[in-house]
Amino acid sequence: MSTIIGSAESDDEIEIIISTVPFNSQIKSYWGWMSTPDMLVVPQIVVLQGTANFATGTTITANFQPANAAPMYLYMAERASEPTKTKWFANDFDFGNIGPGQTFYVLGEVGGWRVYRTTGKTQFSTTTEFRIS
Amino acid sequence: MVTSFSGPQDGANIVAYRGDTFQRWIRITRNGVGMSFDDNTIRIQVRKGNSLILELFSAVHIFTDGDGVLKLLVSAEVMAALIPGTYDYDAQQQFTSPAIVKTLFRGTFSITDDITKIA
Repeated sequence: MSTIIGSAESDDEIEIIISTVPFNSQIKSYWGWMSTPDMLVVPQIVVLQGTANFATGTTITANFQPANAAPMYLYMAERASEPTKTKWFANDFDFGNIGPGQTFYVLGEVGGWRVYRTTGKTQFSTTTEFRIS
Repeated sequence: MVTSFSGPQDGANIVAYRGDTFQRWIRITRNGVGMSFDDNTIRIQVRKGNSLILELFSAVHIFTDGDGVLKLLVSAEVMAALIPGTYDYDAQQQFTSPAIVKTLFRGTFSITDDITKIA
């Protein structure tokens, strides 16, 4: 169980997460594309592009070019047993489709995984970096 | 050092169980980067009005855990001595040079009564 609150300070974004479980030093996440907006009830194509264990605060570089022939929803998934992280950060290589600090929509939990997706369909033409807060 | 425009962020509510070891992990990030606690200490007090219910001190009950994470730890014996109820708390950050005090966040601190007491 975790509680997340946020505040703004001189244009800085402060995020505070209170958790009853430790923050894991290594977090396993998946990322890729999905063709329809709801992977919970609607059959759809899910294109897994990457998976990795990485420390919180570190940056991963995801290459979304190969499977991104048409605009689709970008999704990410993390273990539901870990503290909720609602903020994902992207650099400007995505041409503004995902701005820095954009809040991803939490779709729900599937098989023990908490799934996030973008609010709209996007199309990347280059690699994109993400950082978990 | 920036100054908060709006004061501490409210809503960081905590529910604890009387007689259980109290553990919480708090991650504080600024623009996605973990806050440093190298040049400051954190104090937390739980109060009912002006009455002090519980005080958490840095290096005694509050420990840094890297990457902007604080670990709160209160023993079961101390928790067993608390009276169940809903209280208020906040977390205060103290810098020595320059001398700055800033309250980071606040909320309610609820203690649920236990059934099985410590022997």
